[in-house]
Amino acid sequence: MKIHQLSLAEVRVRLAFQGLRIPCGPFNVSIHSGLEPLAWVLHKIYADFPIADESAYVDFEVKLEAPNYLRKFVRKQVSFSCDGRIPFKPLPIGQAFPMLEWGLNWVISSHAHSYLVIHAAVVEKNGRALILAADPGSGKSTLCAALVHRGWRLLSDELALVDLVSGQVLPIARPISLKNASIGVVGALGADVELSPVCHDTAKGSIAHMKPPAASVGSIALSAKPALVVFPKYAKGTHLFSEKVGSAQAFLEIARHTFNFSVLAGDGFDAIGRLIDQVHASRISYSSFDQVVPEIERLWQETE
Amino acid sequence: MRICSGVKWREYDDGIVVYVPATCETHILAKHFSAFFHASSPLAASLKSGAGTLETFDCEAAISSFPVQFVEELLSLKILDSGN
Repeated sequence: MKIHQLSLAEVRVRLAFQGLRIPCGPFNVSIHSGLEPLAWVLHKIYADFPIADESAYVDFEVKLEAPNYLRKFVRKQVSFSCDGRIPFKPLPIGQAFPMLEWGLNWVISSHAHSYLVIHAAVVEKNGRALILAADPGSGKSTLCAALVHRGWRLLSDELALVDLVSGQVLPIARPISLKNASIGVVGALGADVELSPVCHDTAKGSIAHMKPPAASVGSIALSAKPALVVFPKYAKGTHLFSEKVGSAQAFLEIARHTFNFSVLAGDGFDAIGRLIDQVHASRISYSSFDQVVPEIERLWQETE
Repeated sequence: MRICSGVKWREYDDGIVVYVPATCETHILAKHFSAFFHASSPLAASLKSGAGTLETFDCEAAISSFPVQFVEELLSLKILDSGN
């Protein structure tokens, strides 16, 4: 059963009582919340997600609720917790959905130590993965959304999970997080792009989430072999600049973007080494999709 | 002078990537360090890039032929331990 097969009222009931159990990459997460706005956005943006059955093992129980009784009524707030731990300060209730998404990112990056957890978007074609690793604000998620809209399969817009043993990248197809001007840019890609309502005045500015394609959510069990790493950088008005990155430099960049590198230590070093041995790496600066997408397609062909 | 145990390295065309457990840091060293790493890693894997883990042993004699700056850089990165 998928979430869109439930009515909004049924989603509310699940959230309020037994929890809404959905896959989050290789994990099952049970979401609990009595917050009305969250149910509505989840019903819309997570519509194509399967609901794990009652017997499925739940890896993480997450809750979004008012931090105390007063904040249910006065200057309403929401607090995120995972298995009883509260990693963030409460936020205004209007930011409940972004908080859920940030919270799920935190859950994975803090616990998924059977994998390299790289701060990167990942898309796939023909069983092979393109990893877009970049600092926040580099346009990684926007570029990811554009590629997904052009037919690449979404594996993740935020976290690349590389299995320490197999070296495969595991999908965590979830909503794509968009900030500020990117919201309009991605919204203009086509009428088929579905966005959540925009949350203004968050710590990251205005935030909206793009609904992941049903085909990407439906392929959540299919991992991909890393083939190409790109370090993208959006810069307004710049000309296209593309250069190969040597393996040692690419190694250091990937290590820098790996959330759990210090936890994995030598095992992480070996895993990044195996990853680097099987990919090409390039750095691209660009100012438009018309520049960067053909360049990525060209680099992709070189890996085939 | 001793080599710090457990230092991992991988050699590529554009440099040698080194992981130092004592500092949990990763560095890129120039290719002219290659001979040192190969000589200090008896179990170096025969990967196309070259890779290995350094073994602890007294290396006073082994590094005596290397320039002082070379040794100082390895000391500063805690790849070598002066024993002081």
